[in-house]
Amino acid sequence: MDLTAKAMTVNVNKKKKISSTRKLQLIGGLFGLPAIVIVTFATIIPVIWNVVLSFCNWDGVSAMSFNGIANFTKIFADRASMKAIGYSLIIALVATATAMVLGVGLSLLIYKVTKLEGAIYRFVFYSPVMLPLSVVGLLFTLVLATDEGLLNNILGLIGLKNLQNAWLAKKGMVLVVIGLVQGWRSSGTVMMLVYTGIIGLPADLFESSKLDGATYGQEVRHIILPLVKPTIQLALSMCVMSAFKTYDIVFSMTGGGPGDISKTAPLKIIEQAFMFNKYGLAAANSVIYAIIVIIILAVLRKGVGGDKYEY
Amino acid sequence: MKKKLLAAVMAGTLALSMMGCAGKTETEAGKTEEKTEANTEAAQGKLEKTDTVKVAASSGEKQDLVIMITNPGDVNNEVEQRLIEKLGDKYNIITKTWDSASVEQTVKTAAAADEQIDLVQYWPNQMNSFTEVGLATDLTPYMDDEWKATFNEGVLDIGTYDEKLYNVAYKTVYPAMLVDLEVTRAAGIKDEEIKDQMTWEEFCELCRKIQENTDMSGAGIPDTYACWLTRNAVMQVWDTDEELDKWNAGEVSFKDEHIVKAFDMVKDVFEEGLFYPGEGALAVTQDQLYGAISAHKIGFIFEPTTAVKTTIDNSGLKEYKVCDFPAMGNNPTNPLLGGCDGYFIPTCAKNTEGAIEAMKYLTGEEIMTLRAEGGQVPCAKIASGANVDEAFMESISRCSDQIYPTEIINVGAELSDYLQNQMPANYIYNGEASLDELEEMREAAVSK
Repeated sequence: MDLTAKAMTVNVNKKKKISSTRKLQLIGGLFGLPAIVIVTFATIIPVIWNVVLSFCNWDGVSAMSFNGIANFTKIFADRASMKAIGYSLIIALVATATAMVLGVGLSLLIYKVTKLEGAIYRFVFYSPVMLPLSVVGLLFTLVLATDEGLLNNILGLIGLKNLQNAWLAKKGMVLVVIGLVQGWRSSGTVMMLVYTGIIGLPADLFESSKLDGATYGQEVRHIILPLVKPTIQLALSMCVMSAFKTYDIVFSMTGGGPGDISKTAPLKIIEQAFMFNKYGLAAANSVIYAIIVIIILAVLRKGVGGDKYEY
Repeated sequence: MKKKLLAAVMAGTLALSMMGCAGKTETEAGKTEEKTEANTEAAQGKLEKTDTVKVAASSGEKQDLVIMITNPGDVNNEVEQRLIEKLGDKYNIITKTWDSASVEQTVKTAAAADEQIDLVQYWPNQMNSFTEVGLATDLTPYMDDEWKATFNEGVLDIGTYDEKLYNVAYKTVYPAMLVDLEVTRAAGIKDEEIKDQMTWEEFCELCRKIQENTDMSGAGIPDTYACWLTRNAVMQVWDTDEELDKWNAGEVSFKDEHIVKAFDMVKDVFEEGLFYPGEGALAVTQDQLYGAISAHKIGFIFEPTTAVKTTIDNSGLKEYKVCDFPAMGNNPTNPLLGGCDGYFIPTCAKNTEGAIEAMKYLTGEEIMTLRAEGGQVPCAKIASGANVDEAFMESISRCSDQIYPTEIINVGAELSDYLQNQMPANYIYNGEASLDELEEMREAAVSK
């Protein structure tokens, strides 16, 4: 076969390859279509509509009117809205920190145990994730009640009466408590992700470190944590995003109260929209809140990012 | 060839999965039909209850009637049951659970989505949050003379705004105090010392006595009703009704010394720990309070008059007394917050005629008699031979004439929400900053 004929055959094969790849892409696209349609109607269009609404004045009944950036300036001038965003930030911060520390800690504790024990531990630590947030919230209102609550009664029984507290009725403390509960609930997901990352690491790395006399602590610090950094980064992003959804758990635990000491941004947004019929204002509030979450997420991703190792 | 086969299989799977979805809808539709049939039986007396929505009666041509009046209590359940028996043959009665904290939000959300709700239970004196945004139907054209004649004098005025009737009252409700005499006696308080009408100072003194002599709490109030303390305080702190009228019209600042004094009065009792369980008294739920009442941990319990009988029955109190809300000021008329529970028709109603028919039945003699016999104070005529405990009825209705027709909460919806859901907690936690917030809301509402 001469060179020209060879080149032609290669070309034809290439074309065949391209056309079959395109076909597969087309089929893939076809399969993705229902999901795209759902996401478009359930997420993309509402988000765009929300942004449009944030520049309008609408009470849900009369005609909508454009009012520029008035809603945004109102939100920045409204102490209650700013306070609510601040409370959400505190809860999200505590929840994320709790979930990450607990999740990574638990995964480091269980990755070495045997198959059966490991399965039991994983089930136990992951089970809170399976509970709906509202159920977790209700459960903890019983645990944290001042008089008949489980926690205060246990503290009383073991002679730590001075530590008994009105966990859900003290300014400042209520936010930390809600954050801790939410963080505990999310820690199972972090644990699973990091655990999966750890068991995927090559065994020879651990063996050679043992030969070099590395302790468990050194193994964690110098091998595991640097190598599972991308997984931790992913878990962190997921945690931050879920931690900012401070609605159901807050609603079921305190309803935003007492007073407004735990009224978070999502509760405030719903109040503005559905109690006072200020849909434009609520939309502006949610846009500001979303922007804050995006900025925090970007900063965190950059902060946790860094060298990635290949093995 | 293999790839083509794979593509065909995948496309087939996709088509099948889509058909599966359609099939599922059909199956669900089938289930709905089953549910409808089942609920026809329910209308014939075999009512099956679910938590949120119950379809009470259903068949071919009947029009839906969506009502949101379902709330806990034996009397309320009986009322709803009778309504279903009465109108179930004519309408598909769909009931939605009523919750005081979310009723406004639920109705407004439904209105925004143009979802049908025909009849809602709401407070006639707080209708401004619906009338201000045009979400309540004007009932004036439906209030004929015959229907009007069944109501007690002046009752319909409570739900009338700008000469239009928006809400029809059906029972009187105001705050009262239930006294657990076992607790007070244990604290060395003689029954004679507990007067029907005490002053705020006398009440506080008795609470202190309970706390000093026992390990029980002086008083208790659930978080949802804690606002009564400040709402009553800001009403009763004025010396005359003229001064009160000015305040109720929104003409007086929240930083006025009378108002600050009123808020301080309430703040002091919480800071002193006179309310159950001391620290955390602002976050006590109704269930937690019931538990404490059953365990005889509280001397004085604040309750709406309509709930007094239920509380007594559920907590098993044997030795008790019903007292009036303590007088917090010197006004000789001793004005009291409260009014009535009532019904209104939102503008998202699709069956207004049905709602009116239900409303007429619910405010008619049969239901009013049932309520009176169940320990509630009805707003319309009851049957002459009704089996009513006269002494108990007197104890929960003797302050009816003290209920003041207006309140500062009527000035604006946001002000109303703040005073009802965030006070007194915000004043206790944030002090003057909460008055600044209230003042801003008052000014905004008055300038409208």
